[in-house]
Amino acid sequence: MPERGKPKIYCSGPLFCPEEVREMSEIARVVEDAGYDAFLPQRDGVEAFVMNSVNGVAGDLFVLRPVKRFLSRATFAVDIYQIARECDCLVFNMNGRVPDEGGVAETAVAFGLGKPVVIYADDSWGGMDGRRDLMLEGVSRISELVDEIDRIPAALYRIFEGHAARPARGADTAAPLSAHMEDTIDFGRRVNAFLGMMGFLRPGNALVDEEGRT
Amino acid sequence: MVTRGEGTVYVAAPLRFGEQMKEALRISEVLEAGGWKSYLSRRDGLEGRLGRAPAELLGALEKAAFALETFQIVEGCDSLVVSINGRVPDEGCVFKASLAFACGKPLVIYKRDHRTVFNGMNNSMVVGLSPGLETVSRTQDIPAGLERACNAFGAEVEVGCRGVGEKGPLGDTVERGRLVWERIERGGFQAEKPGLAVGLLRDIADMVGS
Repeated sequence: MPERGKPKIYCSGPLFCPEEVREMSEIARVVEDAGYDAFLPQRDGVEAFVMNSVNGVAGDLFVLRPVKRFLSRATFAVDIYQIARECDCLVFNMNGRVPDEGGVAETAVAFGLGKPVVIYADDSWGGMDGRRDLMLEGVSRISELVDEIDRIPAALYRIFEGHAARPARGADTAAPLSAHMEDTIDFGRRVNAFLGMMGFLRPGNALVDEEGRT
Repeated sequence: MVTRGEGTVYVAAPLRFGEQMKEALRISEVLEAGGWKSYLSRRDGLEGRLGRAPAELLGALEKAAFALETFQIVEGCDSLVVSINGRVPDEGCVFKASLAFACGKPLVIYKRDHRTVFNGMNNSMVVGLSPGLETVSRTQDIPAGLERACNAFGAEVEVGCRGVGEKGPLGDTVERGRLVWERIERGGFQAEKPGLAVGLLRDIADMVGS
């Protein structure tokens, strides 16, 4: 378990078009400007290396299927490792026509491990009847809910400074983790260390390339 | 270890229109034919009864339904089957499956849908929940997939185990969900007349508060 320094915040949300990439970068910037460390998958995870080639011609090649499966597993593992072992809290950007399913998965894992969650949503979409899914409504009610990115630091302050008992880092469930979870975290730790060494090779994000690196 | 015929399987499937409900019931039937019990939120929980509830109780009952489903996933059930059919996976189902993953429950992903997002691959954060990124594409293969998942999740997965030891949002929610479930079991919906069901809903709403 890493030594406690600045709290580290997992920035979760959609990252598949320029608007989403920019909004996630803005969330990470606000979090870091407020004095926290941030993990931003599109910048710090396997996603940074693979998103530019998603849906490219090479991706259709059958011979590359094992590589794609490996990268998919590595992407999942690093993100789960970060949530479970490195990060103290998760901020979920719930904007979108439907909430990003990857972000929903990450939020539920954080909730399941006892990590505090901040949910940011400033869109007016709430499903067909103006309401979101029952599970997301439910988790929103017991999380910090903000409707402006600039309000995220205040929500983090309430979590980390406003409470007498600061949330503990690491997996907080009393029950032991499953073999699958342990394997995932261990694999994620190794891939994460490798990514740390390969950081200098990280490409810019093609979705926002004209505006510079994210 | 969870094996065929032991424990209850949570069926997380999109339930927004009639054919989706039928598909979820088919999954339930396959599991029960394979020796498992199954829990389906719209059949066994509160979700299917919210339409009968007086408007002023809806907020409290949605809170109760969230707590009940969380309790069922974390403590009431021993494993989970999630259907990710649809133009995008149902976000509620993804939430439930991911919560099960975090709590160490074996799970199977069922997908019989031609649509994928990345060069024929599904979203990594969804299929990664299943060991080996495995999905099953036929309902009749779900029991075998569940047995494989039970093996991969490890022998320490016991029937009826798991749960949370600490209070906090998850622990509080599980505790509230347990109370809701006990109240439902005491005055089951099946045997009640519509008027009495509303009385039960009112009791549950009072129990969880607004």
